[in-house]
Amino acid sequence: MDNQEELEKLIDKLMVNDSLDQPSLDFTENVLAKLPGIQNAHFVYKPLLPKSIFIIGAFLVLSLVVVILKNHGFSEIDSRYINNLNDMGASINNFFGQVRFSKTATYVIILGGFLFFVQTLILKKHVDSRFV
Amino acid sequence: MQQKGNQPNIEAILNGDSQAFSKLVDDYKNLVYTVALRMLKNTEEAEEVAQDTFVKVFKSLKHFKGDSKFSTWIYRVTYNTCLDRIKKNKKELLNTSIDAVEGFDIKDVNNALNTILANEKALLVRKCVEQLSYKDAAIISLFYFEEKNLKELSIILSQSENTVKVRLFRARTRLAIILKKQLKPVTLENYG
Repeated sequence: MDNQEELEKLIDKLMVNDSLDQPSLDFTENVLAKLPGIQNAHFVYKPLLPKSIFIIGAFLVLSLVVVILKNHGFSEIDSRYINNLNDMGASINNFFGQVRFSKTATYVIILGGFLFFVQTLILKKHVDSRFV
Repeated sequence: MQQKGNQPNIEAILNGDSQAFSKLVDDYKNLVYTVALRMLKNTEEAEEVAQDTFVKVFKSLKHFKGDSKFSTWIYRVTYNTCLDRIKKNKKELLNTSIDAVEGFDIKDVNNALNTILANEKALLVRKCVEQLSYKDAAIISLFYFEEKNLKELSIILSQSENTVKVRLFRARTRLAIILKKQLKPVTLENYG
């Protein structure tokens, strides 16, 4: 074995024990802070279910609708279900028709709804900025 | 020693997906930082240069054509960023004289190395590489990070494979000389 080969084997043997150094814990955050381009970028949302599952689901629902229509027809559905729905709507109307709000309570509800809407926008902005 | 990241999602990064870029940084930060530290010999500077490297990677990612491995490309950016910093600082560590290798038998050093425990060897490697010049430290580290691939190494250093071979041999020789100095004289005498 010549000198060069021996040297190569020696250093190979030494470097097997080499290990990597680690930068500071906030290294990645510091890099992102230096990139205004990526900070302004929007977070890319990924749907929980893939598209194919949605397509299969939509196909199954459509198939179900087609099977029901074929077996019962439109007129039977009207007579069976639409009347029931009308009855349900009427009873809900009756229930809420009896409820009376004072003027103050109405203003409080409107103001509460408005603040809820504003808070939703602020929260959305906050969450977006955390992900960017 | 290897810490290879998966192929990054370049398209997502170019579309501004910060999570994809964070993953790229997490995958390669230890490698980039290690190369920077070995070349610059200073933790603060290495951290700064490693961060600048990733900023450059982000800005020039659209120019990456995939002609070489992604790790090769990222090392090339790291190496060049470190060279720029060294030139700016105008500091250079002097090389160990290569003639000194004639004065000792490699077998003795090899035998002495066998007696050292694994965790002591890791510390020894670090100490020895620290004493190399930035050029030697870079070529030795990158050679082993790139799984001893001379072709990839020649792309990183922008030099021909033959030149890289010669430089690597010289770096190995200097590392062996430093290694001999680091090993306790008593250990060497036992095998001398």
